[in-house]
Amino acid sequence: MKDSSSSGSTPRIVVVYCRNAVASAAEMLEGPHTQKGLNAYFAALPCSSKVEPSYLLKILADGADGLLVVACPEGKCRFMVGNVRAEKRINYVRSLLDTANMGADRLTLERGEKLKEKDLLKLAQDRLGPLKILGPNPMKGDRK
Amino acid sequence: MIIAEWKPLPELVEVLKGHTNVLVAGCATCVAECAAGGEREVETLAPLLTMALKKEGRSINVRTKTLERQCEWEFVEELAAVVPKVDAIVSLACGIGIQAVAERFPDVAVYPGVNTTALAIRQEPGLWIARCAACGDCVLGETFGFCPVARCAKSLSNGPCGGTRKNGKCEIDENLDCVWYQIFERAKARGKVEQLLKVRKPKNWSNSGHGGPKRMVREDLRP
Amino acid sequence: MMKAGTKLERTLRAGQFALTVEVGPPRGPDPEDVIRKARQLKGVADGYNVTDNQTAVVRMSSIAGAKLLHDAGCEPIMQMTCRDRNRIALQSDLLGAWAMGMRNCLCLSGDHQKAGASGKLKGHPGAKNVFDVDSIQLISILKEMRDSGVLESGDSISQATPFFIGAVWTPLAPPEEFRILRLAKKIEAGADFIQTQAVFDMKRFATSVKAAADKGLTDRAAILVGIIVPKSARMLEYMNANVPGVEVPEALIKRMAAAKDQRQEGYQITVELIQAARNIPGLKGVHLQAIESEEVLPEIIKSAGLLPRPQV
Repeated sequence: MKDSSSSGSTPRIVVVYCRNAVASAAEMLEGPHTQKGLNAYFAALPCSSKVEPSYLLKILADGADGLLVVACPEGKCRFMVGNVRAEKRINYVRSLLDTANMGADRLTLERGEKLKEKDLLKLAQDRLGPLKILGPNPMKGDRK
Repeated sequence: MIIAEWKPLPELVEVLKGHTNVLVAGCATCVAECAAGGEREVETLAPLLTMALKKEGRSINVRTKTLERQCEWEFVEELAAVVPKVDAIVSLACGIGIQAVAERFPDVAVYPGVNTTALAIRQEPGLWIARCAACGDCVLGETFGFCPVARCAKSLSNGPCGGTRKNGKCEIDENLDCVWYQIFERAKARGKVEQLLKVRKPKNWSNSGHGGPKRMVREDLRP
Repeated sequence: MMKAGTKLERTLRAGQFALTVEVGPPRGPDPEDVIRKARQLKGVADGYNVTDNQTAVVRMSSIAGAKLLHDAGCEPIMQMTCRDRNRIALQSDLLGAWAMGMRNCLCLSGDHQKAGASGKLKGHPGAKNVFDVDSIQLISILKEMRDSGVLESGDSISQATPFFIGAVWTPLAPPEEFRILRLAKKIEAGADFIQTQAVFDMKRFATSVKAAADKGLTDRAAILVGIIVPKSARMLEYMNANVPGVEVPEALIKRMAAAKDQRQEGYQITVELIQAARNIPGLKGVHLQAIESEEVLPEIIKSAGLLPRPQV
């Protein structure tokens, strides 16, 4: 079913989330998920601070239209300031994306706690609209 | 360490537009210490460049390699295997390393990925401040350990000028301590203010770059 | 013993309260811009300072401006900074300046080119600065050229160049307790006269002069207090907040703000500052500056009772 307002294909989104933000192991999502209109890929991290600029940029260079990082709320990082470091790194990469004319908004940060599977899916779905507006990643098709 | 910072990305995109196979070469010493050109930064710049060029309609193939130091021939030699596969090298080393690579591989275009700016210390995480100007005429023993050449905006030998702000910072940069204020405070703490009363004569700048490109020889170490 | 025989020097030697004024050169090559100021200011001062690319803004050179003033009958005080010229150029310019009749020279470090213009001009923040020597070393250089006919290198020049050598004192910039010691250094290096950074609190300045007198400095060099004609309360606030070494008492700012005609009030304040300065023991004169408005100086100087200038 083609949506006349979209380019025709669903934006591919990678969601990288802190496993401490999730309610329990049962709620963790891993790998590709295509339900509820999504074209998403989920990966858990031991702490959101594990995101490195090179790592985030490689995901986008590999063709993801959008990248969402989910961290714990401010002041609630299990490792004290991990989520503070994460935000600084994400802001840095966003500014780099701007200099490359890729659009800073391809990379966003959300915070949450005790998240359930459906919450993770919703966070991914909420990005679809903005990513459609940004347009497809020019790196699509170049994926190695 | 020598500090450097990335050139603006649009500049790099512009020079790489005419190339297809690019090597981003890093250095694990000074530029790694200042987060400009170590492996981490190489692996950050590579995908970024790829995307930025793709945005301009150019598909480039980027390889990466980080050497221990780009200012030593033995390490630069390690690039010999990959250089034949590329038509451009973007080096994130300081100007010394970039030139060593260019000298060893004269047939391939070598571009600086960074602007080398100063000899600095990492004062705090994320903060580097210039400390040495390589003037070739070190007076640190007479200024209580504070360099008036690198840390005074006017390199005064008999400072301070009239531009010290109320909070002891330099007139031209509110984040910069007036080093002569610091020198005086240190002299006072040591009870040696009279050492600052002597009029210091004009410096001999000829042992630095001002005397011509520096060339240092040790006969006992020559082959 | 007369050093250079300039009007400023003779006035001071005669024990008269000296008066110097500042002339800003134009941001262009028209000599008429300087000659016009000379005509307005002729006879009102004992020496006329010509600034040297102040705030690193390109203006007609101090030497050229000084020569034009000299030819128009106003004895100039050339200003030389260390920002733009190395010792070779400085000494060369001193020889040339002397050849053209210059005999007073004020030695300064110079504003860093980043201090730049006040936002309206682009300036040259990207220029390479020099600072080969500093102001105190420059004073020494002038002294050697004058007293021994020798350059900094040790080479001789064909003839000694008598100059009346000036330096700047900023008593209130931190670290305050070192400023008097640095003044002593400048006098030791050869400074004959001193012009201070602008003072708006003469009572406080008097204590600085006393400290200098206690060290015997007021006998070895003539100190002239710098006074800037205030134009508005905003200007006073700006200077108080942004110019190192300048402190404006709150009461003065309030007085300006409350005035019906701030310009007139500024002239009145200037006259009062001059009169207060005359009462400071050991202080030998005043250096008056009306930035970009030299034409107001004659009236102020007259109101302060300083005209006519003594014939010495």
